[in-house]
Amino acid sequence: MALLSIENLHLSIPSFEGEARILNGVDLSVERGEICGLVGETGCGKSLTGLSVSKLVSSPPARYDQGSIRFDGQDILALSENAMRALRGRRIGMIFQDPTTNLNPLFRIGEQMVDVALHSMGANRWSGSARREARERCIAMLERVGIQDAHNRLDDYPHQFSGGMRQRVLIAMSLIGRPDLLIADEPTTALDVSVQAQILQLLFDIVREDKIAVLLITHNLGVVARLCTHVAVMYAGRIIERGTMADVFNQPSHPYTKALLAAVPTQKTRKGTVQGLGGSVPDPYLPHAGCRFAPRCAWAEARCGEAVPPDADLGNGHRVACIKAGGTA
Amino acid sequence: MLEVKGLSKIYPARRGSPAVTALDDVSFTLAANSAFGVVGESGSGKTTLTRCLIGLEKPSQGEMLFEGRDIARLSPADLREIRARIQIVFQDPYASLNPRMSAQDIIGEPLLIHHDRLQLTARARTDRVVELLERVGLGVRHLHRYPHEFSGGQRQRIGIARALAVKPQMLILDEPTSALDVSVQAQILNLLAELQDSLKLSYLFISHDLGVVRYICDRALLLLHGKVIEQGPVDQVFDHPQSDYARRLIAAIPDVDPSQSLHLAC
Repeated sequence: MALLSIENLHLSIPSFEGEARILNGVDLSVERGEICGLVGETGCGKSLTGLSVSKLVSSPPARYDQGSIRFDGQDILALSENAMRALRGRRIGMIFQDPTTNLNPLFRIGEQMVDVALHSMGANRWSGSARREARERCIAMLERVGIQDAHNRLDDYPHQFSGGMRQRVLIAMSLIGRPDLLIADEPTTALDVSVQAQILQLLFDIVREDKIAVLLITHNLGVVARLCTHVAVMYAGRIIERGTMADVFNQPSHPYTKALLAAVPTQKTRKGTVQGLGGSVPDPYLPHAGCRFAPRCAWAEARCGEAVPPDADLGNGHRVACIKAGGTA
Repeated sequence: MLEVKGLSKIYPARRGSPAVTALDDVSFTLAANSAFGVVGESGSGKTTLTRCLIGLEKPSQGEMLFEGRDIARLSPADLREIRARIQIVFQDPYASLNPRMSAQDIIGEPLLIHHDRLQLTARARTDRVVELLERVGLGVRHLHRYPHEFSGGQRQRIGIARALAVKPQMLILDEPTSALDVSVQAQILNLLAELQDSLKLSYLFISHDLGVVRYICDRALLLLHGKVIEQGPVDQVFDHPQSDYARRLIAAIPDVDPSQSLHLAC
C-alpha cells in the first residue's frame, strides 16, 4: 500500500456563478522515497490537490463528491480536525511558494520554528526544558538545510534573510517534525536559478537520506526532469498521464503532455520552433462529457467527445487517459 | 541603434548603509533589428539598467547613445520624443494594466500622450487600436473589455499592443513571460519573434530564463553585481562561457531533459 493514495477524487466548490468542478477524478499515489512531480497549467487543480491532502480546503463550502485520500492507511477525508492537526506538521509537512509571505515578519525565525517544533514534539509549550530541546532541534535542522551559524541566525528576523535562505528556513520548518510526506507547492518558483539548483539538491538529499515521500507541485518541467522520480500531468482536474519521469518525458503519450513538452525552449531549440498550445483551459463551471482536452487537441475525433477516456496502461506504471494512447502522432 | 558606453550607477551612501554600485562600467551595442538579452540574478542590476535607458534614473557615469544622442542628457521634450521610440513591456501582466480601463483605453493611452506629434483624430485612434489588437492575435470584440476579463497571456498581448501603439523602433522586454504558463509563454515568444521580423523591431530582452533568452536573442550579456561577466553571440555565451560564474549559472538551469536527473548522478 502506497504511503499516499488518492483515488477518483472529485472536488466541487459552489459559488455565485454556479458549481465549479475543480477536481474530476484524481488518481495518484506516492510511495516512500519517491518524488512525484504534479504538473499542469494554472487553474488545473494542482494546488487544490495538494491542499486536499492536508485537508486545508474548507468544506463546506467545498464538497468532496466522490473518492478518497488515504495516507498511511487512514482516510484523510473522514478524519476530524483534531486528528488532522496531529498529522499536519508531524507526519505531513508543507512548503509553499512564496518564502516572503509565509514567515511572520514580526517574530524572530527562532520563535516561529520553536512553535512548530513544540507542536511536533507534542510537548507542553510552557516547559522550559521542552523549549530548550525544541531550540536544539531547530538549530540542528537549520544546519542540515545549509544555514551557517544557525545558533545566532535563530534570533534574526525574516527580513535579515535572503529569499533563498528564507525558503531554506521554511523547508527546515516543514521537516522539523520528521514528516513521512512532504507537499511542496512551487517551492522554487520565486527563486533565482542558482538558488533553485541548491534547493533542489537539498530536497534530493533529504529524500535520499530520510526516505520520505514528496509531492512536488510545479509548472516548471525542467525542475521535474531534474528532481522527480515520477510525474503526474494534470489537466482540468484529472491526471491525464502519469508514470516514471523518464518514461513520461522520453515517451509522452498524451497529446497534452506532448504539447507541454514542445512548448519549452531548451538549449537546443531554434527560433520560431517552439509550439504554443492554442485555446485555453476549460471553464470549470460548464458540465462536460468526454475528454476535456479534445477541444484543443490536434488528434481529436468525434468519439473523443463521447465518454471520459479510461486510463490505458502502457506498462511500468505508465498510464495515460487517451483513447488513442500509443497510436497517436 | 543603441550604444551603451561605460555606464555606471552608484546609489550614494545613506545613514547606516554604504554606497551601492548597481551598475559598474556596462557597455554593449544593440544593432537595429536584433535582439539583445540581458541575463542576471536578482540584484545584478537588470532593473537599474532599464530604468536608466528610459530616463527614470540618471546614470552616475557613461553614455547611452540612442541613434547618436545621449539619453541622459536630453531635454524633457526630447526625452519624450525618444520614449515614443523606445517602449517597454512589463513583467507582470496582472499589475501593469489599470483594472479600471478598457482594452481600448489602455492601448490608446500612448496615442493620447503623444498626440502632439501623432495628431490622430479619435476615429483614427480607434482604428489604430483595432489594428493593434489584431496584430497581437486579439480582435475588435475585445475592444471594450476590461483586464479582469482576459487571461494572463491575453493581458500580456495587450501590454505588447500598448507598447507597439506609437510605432517604436525598440522594445524593452522586462521578463515578459515569467508570469505565464509554458504553453502561453510559447505563444508569446512566437508572437514576439514574428513581430520583430515584420515590424523590424529591436529588442532588449531582460530575463533570468536562459532558455528563453537563447531562443529569442542574437547576442546576450550576463550581469553579476552590476558588472558584465560575459558578452557575445548567444551560442558562444551559452556553449563556451569563459567565466566560472557563467558556467555554474548555465549548469543550474533545469533543462527539460531526463538525462539531467539528479537520480542518475548517484
